[in-house]
Amino acid sequence: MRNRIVYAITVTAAGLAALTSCAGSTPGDGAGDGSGDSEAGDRGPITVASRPDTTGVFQHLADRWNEENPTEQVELIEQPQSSDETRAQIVQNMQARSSEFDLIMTNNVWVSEFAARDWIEEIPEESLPDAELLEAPLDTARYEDTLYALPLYTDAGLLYYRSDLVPEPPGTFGELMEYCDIAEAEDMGCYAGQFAKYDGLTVNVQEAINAAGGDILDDSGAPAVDTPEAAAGLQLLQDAFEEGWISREAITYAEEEGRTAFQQGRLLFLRNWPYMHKLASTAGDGNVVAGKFDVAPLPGIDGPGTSALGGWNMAVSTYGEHKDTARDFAVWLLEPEAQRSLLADGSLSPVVAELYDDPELVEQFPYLPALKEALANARPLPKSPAWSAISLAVQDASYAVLQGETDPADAVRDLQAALIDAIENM
Amino acid sequence: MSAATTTVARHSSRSSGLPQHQAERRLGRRLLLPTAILLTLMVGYPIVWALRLSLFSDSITGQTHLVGFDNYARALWGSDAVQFWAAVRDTALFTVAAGGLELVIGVAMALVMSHLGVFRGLVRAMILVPWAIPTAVAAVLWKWMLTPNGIVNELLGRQILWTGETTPARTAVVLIDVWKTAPFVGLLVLAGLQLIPKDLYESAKIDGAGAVRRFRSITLPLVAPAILVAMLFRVLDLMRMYDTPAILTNGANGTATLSLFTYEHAIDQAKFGYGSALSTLTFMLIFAAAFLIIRLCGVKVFASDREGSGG
Repeated sequence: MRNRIVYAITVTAAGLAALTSCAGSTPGDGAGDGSGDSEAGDRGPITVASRPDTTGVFQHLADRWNEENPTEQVELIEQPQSSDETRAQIVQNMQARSSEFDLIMTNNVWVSEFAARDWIEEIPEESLPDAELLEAPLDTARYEDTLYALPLYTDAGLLYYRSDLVPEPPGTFGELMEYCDIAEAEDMGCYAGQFAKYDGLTVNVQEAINAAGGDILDDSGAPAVDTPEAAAGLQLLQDAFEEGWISREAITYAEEEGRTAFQQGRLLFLRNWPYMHKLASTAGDGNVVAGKFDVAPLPGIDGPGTSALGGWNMAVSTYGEHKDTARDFAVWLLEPEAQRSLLADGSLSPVVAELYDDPELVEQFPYLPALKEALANARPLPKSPAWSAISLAVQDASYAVLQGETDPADAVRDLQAALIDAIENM
Repeated sequence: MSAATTTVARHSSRSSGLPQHQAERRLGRRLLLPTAILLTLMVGYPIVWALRLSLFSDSITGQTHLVGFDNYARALWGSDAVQFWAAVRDTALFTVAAGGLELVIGVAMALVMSHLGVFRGLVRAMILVPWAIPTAVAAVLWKWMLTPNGIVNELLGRQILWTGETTPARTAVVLIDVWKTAPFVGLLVLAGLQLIPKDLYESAKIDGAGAVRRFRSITLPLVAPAILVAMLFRVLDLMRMYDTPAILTNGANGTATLSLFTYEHAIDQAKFGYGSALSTLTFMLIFAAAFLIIRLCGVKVFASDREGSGG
């Protein structure tokens, strides 16, 4: 028995010695030498951490680029559909300072954090293309007034409504509620958005708070949610659940659950992203609303609502090898032809302003005018390196409000404290 | 290898003049050393490294510094205490509820399987199907079956918000785990059952013992070690539960397990110091649970085992 103990101690000590010998650096020491100015020779084949290419549009564009640039071939590496999983992949790669990706497609809410961590390269303003880009998506690519990414495609919430039952789309939630009698007569739910506990809830809560004139962070990035306006926004959602014009089951909805309910004819109004337009327009497979719905900008409280701004950007990895090629490819994707292809072949909303007025595209994508209006009024999601912690705090606070467990005024006060803590501890 | 062994053995016994068996023992230890070092590195390195990380602050700029036990304090009684202890409570609840059900159902399954004879192989294969499905895939399947208009509510004829209210959400997490893992427990226990010699039952029968008596006096004590191993596996596994609640509810409605809570900080927020502290706390809780189980049940089981073999 004693032998065994002595032996165990010896082995442990040996292990510790081995450890200390290779534990010279401080954990998380980010002062790597992977960064630095891009040199003239930073050209060659690149790999892109891409969104899943379900429509094939990204590969199509990469093929076109590859034809023109035989020495700077682009290879796409598709990331998971789930935004969270994609993020985990990218964070892991960056943490390991891996050169696997030269260019990454990043959700616009991650840009601040990636820039603050020195994971992505600054992009000179001169690289921006001549074509006019939409201001709001371009702004999500900036961190502390410096450009760290380029927008790829954008997204804004739209109000899908049953045009066969509702004569005029509601401009405010008050008008929307008046239509709920129709929903009741048809034995369907009145309104839904994304209210399950995930990032989509943060989006919907921000939209409600903005509609009431409040905000989560102020323009300087400081928490500003402890206001009567923000409480009023949460109160609107709480009342909606209590009064039933948002049905109980919407507390379990992410995008797809809501889309399914709408397509099965169980919902009169639904807040969702533009991606659903094409799917809901295709008849069959349990879809009963093809040709019976239309879209409008989101409703507000006193006037039109304010959508939160979704969308994805492209950023050049600090640890990539061919940074100039990576940046050039990202700029090339902003050319009107490439952006038109994103919309026409991939149903992704372009960031080049002129395409929204293109008659041919408007005919093919009837939601473009509504989307253009939504994008003009859209507000970015909290722009902070602490986005993940902020989103989590918003979800925790608002979910309890929607469940009727917390009073909105208490919730915004606690949320303010949680946001301050999140930003201080990032 | 054998040549080297004999040389070394001869050499050591000659030089030190130790009795043969002691020299052999020393040689044995020396031969085990490479494996021991490898194991220490594989098991010990991450543990020690996590312990070390857990004492450092997190900073977005990468400038971290030693903060002592601040990360632990934050979870245990600081600003995250409410969520941390809620996670401990939820994890404990799932461990007890799912673990208990899996044990009872698993043992029942094993008893049925051991009496099946010809069809045993077939049933054993069928019963393992849920276990073969990856947890994440199973959780996604169940999530769709449990939607408000899904097949489960259709069959029950009720409108239950499985992922939208506390009690149904917890019930769903427990039931999915039981559905998936009870067969695994059953298989482990079946292996234990098949080791019991048939003649014990025959002689008990001759002595006039009824079915209940035979189960209590022969089956249960002899299968107890297998049950204990199964229970240990399940408790250790359940205390690390992540996939099912992550996919089903994302931790809403009283289903935020410790692993989920840790993941949110360590991965989503890339706070490796704080995340390591949370992992270490989880590790300590699991270690304590395993220790308690072995102390409370193991001593008894192995003591009776020894008695059994001695008598």
